[in-house]
This record gives sequence, structure tokens and C-alpha cells, in this order.
Amino acid sequence: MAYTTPQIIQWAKIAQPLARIGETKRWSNGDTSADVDLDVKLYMTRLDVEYAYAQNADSAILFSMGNYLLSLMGIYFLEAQGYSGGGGSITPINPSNAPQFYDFEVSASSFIATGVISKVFPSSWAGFNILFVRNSITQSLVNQGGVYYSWDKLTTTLTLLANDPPYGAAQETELFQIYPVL
Amino acid sequence: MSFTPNFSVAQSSADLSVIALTDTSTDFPSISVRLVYLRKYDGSYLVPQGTTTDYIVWNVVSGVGDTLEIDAIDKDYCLDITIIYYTGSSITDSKTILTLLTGYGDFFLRKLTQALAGNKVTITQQNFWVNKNKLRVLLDDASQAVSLLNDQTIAQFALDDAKPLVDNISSFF
Repeated sequence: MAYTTPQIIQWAKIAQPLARIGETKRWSNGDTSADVDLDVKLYMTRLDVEYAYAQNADSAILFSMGNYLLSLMGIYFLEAQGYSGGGGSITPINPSNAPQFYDFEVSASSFIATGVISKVFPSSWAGFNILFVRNSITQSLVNQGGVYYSWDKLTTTLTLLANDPPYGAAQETELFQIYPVL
Repeated sequence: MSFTPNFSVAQSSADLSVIALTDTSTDFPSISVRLVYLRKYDGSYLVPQGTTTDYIVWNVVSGVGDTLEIDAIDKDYCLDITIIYYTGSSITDSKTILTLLTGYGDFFLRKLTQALAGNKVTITQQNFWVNKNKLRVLLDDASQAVSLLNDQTIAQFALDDAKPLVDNISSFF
């Protein structure tokens, strides 16, 4: 299946930061074949392809240039495709899109601080349900429901509902684990 | 029409440590106060020196068009900026925007080119252009990570990789 030049350019943009963190991790793990400057090569080559495409979108040279850019992406090509849902397949749900879970002991400086009843999570949690484990007890999985807490996945707001411990406002030294769940 | 919270962020090259937030909401209701959270990729919050809370209080003057200057940007950041709108003690609404601040890197690149153009520096490092290109690409990595991946961690990773290049001019340029 042939890809269009705009598709390849878009994937190259996505593959670029993935390559930066991915190759650096490979290098840190002792893989000497890692190319820590792969993102630089992707960036430079992408600009050349963009320029050629802007000059003449029907140029035959774009086929080989596009294929070269695809080959440069290497292992990051499929991941980049996943982000943009390309290739005509069902858009995969990429685990790396899920935000990092929270696991902490409640204190004055914790993510949900002592005495807090309502907390807005980062926007990266939008669209996810949550699994809330409070003091090793799994609460429930909800969106805009529940007795002991509520979670609005549009505004990413967690509200601890009941007023008295062990529910209600976060108490000092309580153990909170909050996981994003699709 | 209902209240639609929104805001814009600007970083001035005149003072890179300051960002200015402007409220661009529509149909501004009766709001008593706004709280601003600058959340870093590791879950901690960036606040001006001397602030003891995770948030910065933004009082309502006119509502739409209000501007808040925050002096806390000590390096390039990718921040999840959240504004929570309160009526009394109740949350009316909130808005979060993943924001990339690359003023330090961009300004540094501009200064390098300005210095070259004015013959004020001599390229002494063999890798001058390699490092200059690398810095440009790292900033672009962060930009793509935000605009296409919506990934704060990858964006901050690229910015932190770029920081030594900006901080050590004599070693790299």
C-alpha cells in the first residue's frame, strides 16, 4: 500500500520526539546501536521532503524521498502511525497515551493534599475513567457517579463525597492510588 | 450561550521568567476568584518564589481580558496550566491547556545568529553547527510532542536535553 507524501510528513513529525526519548533510553540501557540523534536526521529530511512537495507535489522524486524518510523512522514508524490512526485500519489505543498513575501518601504537599475534597487532574486524564484505591481498598470505577467519590472525565475532576473519614476529604498519611482506565 | 472558560499564555523575550495569562473566556459569569495551577510533568507545581500553595490566586477584575503575570519560569517548560473558576467555595468550571514555553531556547538560538551576523563571535568549536542544529531540533521535538502527541513527559524530556546546550555556551558553541 502506497502512502501519500503528506501522510509520511505527518508520521515523521510524530516519530521525531518518539525517536528522541526512545533512542536515548536504548543508549542508556547499553544498546550501542542506538542513534541518539535520529530525531535530527528525521527533522532535516522531513524539511527537505516538505520543500520538494511544496515545489511540485507530483514530482517523481517524492516517491524515493518519501520511502527514505519512512525507512529513517525505523521502529518508530508503526508507533507514529498508531497516533494518527493511519493505514486504513482501526485506530489503535496506544498505551503511551495513558497518563501516569498516582501513588502517594497524603500529606500537605502530596498531589491531593491533606484536607482537599476536590481535585482537578491534568488534561491528559480527560476521557479516562479511574480506578481509585484508598488505603488498599478499591473504591469503584465511575464517571459522574458513586457514593464515596465522583469522577468527571470531561473536567477531570475528582471529588471525595462523604464528609467523614474514612471517606470525604483526604486525611494525613492516607494511601492513595489512582489509575487511569479506559 | 453558556460560560466557556479559556485563556491564552504569552512569554515575552524582554523577561523570559515571566508569563502573562489573559482570560479569553466567553459569557463570563459571576466568578469570585480564579486559581491557577502550573503543573510540571512530574506532578509537582511551579509557583513564584515565596508562594506557599500549589496554586496562584487570580482575582477577577473585569473577567474577560484580565491579565495575570507570573514570575516563575526559570527554564524552558512544558506545563499543564489549569485555571479553576470559583463561585464562593464551589467550582464553576475549569480549563486546562498543555503549554510549551521555549523562550530560553529560542532566544538563545536568536542570539547565536545575531552574534554571528554581527561578527561578534568566532566559531571555535568544531561542532558549532551540529550543536546549533541539535538545539533547534530538540525544541522542535518538544513542539511536536505537544501538538501531535499531547505528551508532556516527552516534551519536557526534549527541553531538558536542550538545557545543557543553552547553559554551556563556551563548551558547545
